[in-house]
Amino acid sequence: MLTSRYGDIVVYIRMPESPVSLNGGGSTFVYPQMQAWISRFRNISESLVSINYQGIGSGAGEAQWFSRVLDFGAADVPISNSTYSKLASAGAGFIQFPIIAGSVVIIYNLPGWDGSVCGSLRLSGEVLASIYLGSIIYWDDPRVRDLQVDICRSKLPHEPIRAIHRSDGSGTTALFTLYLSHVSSEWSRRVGYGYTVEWPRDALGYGEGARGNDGVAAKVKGTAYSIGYVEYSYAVANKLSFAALKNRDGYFVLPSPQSVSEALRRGAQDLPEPSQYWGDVPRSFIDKEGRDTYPIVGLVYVFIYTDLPRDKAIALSAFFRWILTEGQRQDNLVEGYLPLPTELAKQAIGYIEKALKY
Amino acid sequence: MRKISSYIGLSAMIALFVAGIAPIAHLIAIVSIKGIQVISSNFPSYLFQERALPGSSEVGGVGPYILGTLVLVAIASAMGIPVSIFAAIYTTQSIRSRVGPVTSTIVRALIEFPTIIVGLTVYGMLRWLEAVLGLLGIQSPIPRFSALSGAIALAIVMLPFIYTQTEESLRGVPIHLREAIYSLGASRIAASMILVRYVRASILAGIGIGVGKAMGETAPLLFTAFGRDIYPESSPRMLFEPIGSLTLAIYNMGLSGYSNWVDSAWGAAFILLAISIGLFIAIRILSAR
Amino acid sequence: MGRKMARGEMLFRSFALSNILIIAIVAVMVILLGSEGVMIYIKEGVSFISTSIWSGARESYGILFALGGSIITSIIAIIIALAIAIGSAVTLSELAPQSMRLFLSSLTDLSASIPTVIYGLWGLYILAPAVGWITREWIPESVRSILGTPGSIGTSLLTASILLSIMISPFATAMIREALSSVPRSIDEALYSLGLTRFEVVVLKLRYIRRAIATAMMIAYGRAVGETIAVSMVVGNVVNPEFWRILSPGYTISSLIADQYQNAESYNYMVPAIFGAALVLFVIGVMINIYVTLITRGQRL
Repeated sequence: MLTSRYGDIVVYIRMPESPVSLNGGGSTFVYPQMQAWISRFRNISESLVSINYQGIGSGAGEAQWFSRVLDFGAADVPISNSTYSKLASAGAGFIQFPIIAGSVVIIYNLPGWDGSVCGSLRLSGEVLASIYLGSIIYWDDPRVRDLQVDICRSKLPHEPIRAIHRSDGSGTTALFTLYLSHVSSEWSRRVGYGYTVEWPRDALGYGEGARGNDGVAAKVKGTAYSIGYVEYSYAVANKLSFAALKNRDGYFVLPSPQSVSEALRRGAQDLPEPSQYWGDVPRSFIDKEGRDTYPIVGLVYVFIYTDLPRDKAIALSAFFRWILTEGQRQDNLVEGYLPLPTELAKQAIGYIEKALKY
Repeated sequence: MRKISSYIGLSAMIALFVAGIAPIAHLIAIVSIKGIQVISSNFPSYLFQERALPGSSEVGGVGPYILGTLVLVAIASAMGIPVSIFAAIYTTQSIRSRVGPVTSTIVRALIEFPTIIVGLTVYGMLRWLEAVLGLLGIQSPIPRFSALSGAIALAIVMLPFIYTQTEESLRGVPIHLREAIYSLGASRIAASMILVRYVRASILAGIGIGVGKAMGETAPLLFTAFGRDIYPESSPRMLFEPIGSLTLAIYNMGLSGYSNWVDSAWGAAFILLAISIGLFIAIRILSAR
Repeated sequence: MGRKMARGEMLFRSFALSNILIIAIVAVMVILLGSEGVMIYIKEGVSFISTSIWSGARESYGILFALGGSIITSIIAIIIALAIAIGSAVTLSELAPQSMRLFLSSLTDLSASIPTVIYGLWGLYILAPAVGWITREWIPESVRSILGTPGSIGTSLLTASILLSIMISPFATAMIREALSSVPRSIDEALYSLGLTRFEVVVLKLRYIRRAIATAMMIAYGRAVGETIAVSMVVGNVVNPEFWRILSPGYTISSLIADQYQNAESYNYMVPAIFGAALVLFVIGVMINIYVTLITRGQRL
């Protein structure tokens, strides 16, 4: 029996009697963190629990978990509407719960922009939506200029903005487009949100796709006058400059553990029952009020069926309850990953214990 | 004047040849240099260790992927080699059968199939199988993402090469030899065995080609093997679980943004290249006989 | 016939099961491809291949950008490969000294057995940056406005075309060499005795085997269209409706399938769209196959 703590939470973790091997897949965002957790937990469980996780993309993770090919799926948004209705009509027992928080940040590569003088580039949701829609072409467009600090407005060159996006189906895209749909009715009307969307700017020749968070980060790093969106952890790992976003109260906020947890705290009202449709849950963390709140914040959700054989149920319960406690501690987190507030962790643990009974 | 234009023309030919061969030479050189660099920095554990965490300073190893490639190719060969050879024997030794020529036509078409379609259709076939068996209340014995499904896809890829080579080499036996064997009253089965022995070097070369193809494919595995970065649990179970391969590892690690993974991709590429070249040389030697 | 013979004969007949297995598997594959592939055409109609859109959110799919990408990259690839293959075949068959012939031709043949993912790795980290650099430094803005600009690491339709040409040249070279060697010696001798220069003789021989060259190119084209992994690593994987802008990144049908299949099951119509794209690829392959068979049938030497 292992004791695992986080804040004021204490859980008792029981290991399976013989080695259990699990297969999971999904979110590429959580992939590095998942690998770290898997490795750590394999040691802690003395190799009783070994997990193979492939970063096949949130959409694929949900799909393959639904078909019961994978033991668990991990995605940057909760179970989609179409999958949920299939689950509901089949009467299948399942739960979903968050395991870690993430944030989508805007990275940029702007030669001539002096960070020590001008600070971070400032952007707003409406301007971002206009850029990706193609209605703003150049860096020195008035709408972009007006957001910047006075002395730095002239630093914006007359170059077209190369807007990079994900080419593969991605939960990061889902979160980013959810934000854009929220702040721009034109975006909501023309594009919508989801793992894979059509990018109007591509047709103008000023947008391009890249594979994976790492692909987008690499591309922005290598392309002058570009912007892109990636998970916070990737921006940190690649030492990229990220933009300050105008939040709902009008303040320009940089993504950081503090500004993200502001959003998480404010959005963490009670989560719905784990077997309900969670379609509105992501929205409750987006564009929250508060002086220091960062507007694009999301969670990574894990999906598990509840009718599992005993050894898998024990192993999954052990692994995820450990993740929700000790796994949230700084020394178990890969740099750039943001822990859940204890309120959310507590709820998630409750869901697992009630459903899997181990 | 004509002499000069002849000289220019022929030089152009040689230049084009060099233009074609230079990238290949560069590729072989660079894969070797970078690959050996990576492998020697962590020799010999590189061949056995699992992959390091993304972004770490270590390069880890490609052990599970080597195992995966071996397992996949072994199972694929166990399925593909007998089927191709028996079918080719039947085609060449049966006179009035229509099955033979039909097989040959279909196999010729199969060679041109993009391998990604092979993977996609195997995935589709397994889905169909699951659905059909599900109606009967039985669970499908072949999981969608497993070593078995990957091996099936690879077997389909290797099949046409072994079949064609076997068929051609059997047909290439001089007619008087074949007549002699049959005129001695040998049954078709006995004659087949004799002819196969006679051209066995060529058939082995065909097997080598098929195995080489199976070993070097990535696309068919995308939809079937799924990938695996840790060693599998136990021997029989691993056939029904996802598995990785050197090719999948090179593809995924090469495309990732992590420099230690990209380095490891070069190492894995060198291992794969070395085996391919070794196989190529072996096939050449066999064909010379 | 003795009992031993009868048993032996039964054993031989059982080999036919292998033939039937092969036929059955391919039949199932084609039926599957057809039935799954047709579904998207029922929903989208002809617009599936006449428009360019790939949106899961809107469940709207049109693969014109990928079809165009496949065709254009393959055409450029065979043009380059044609030049290289002719040059290589002539060099190897006519010009290279006997001593080097085996080594050089083996090197060419070897390149046909290099796994494609290794070509892709080389393409991504060597070829693409080179193309990107050449485009940035040497191609003027005026050209770039028409032909597009590569992705930041040099990925583009042209990069894919060049990589494809490197990969398909060995096959084409081997086929043209074979055709060259089948030219009767008598013709060779006759031409030289007429006092023609070496180059003129070569040109005439090439004209003589032009049918074989065309066949070789068609087969190479089929391979280029079907190549997936290496292409997906260097083509950029971007929806590019203006696929004639070859310096820009784009998709081919096969790279679209490889890139999007994982994602596809969370939508209702993306899987059928993927199969629909695969069906187009298959049909192109079949058409090439039929064309080549018809041509070679008329050319029984």
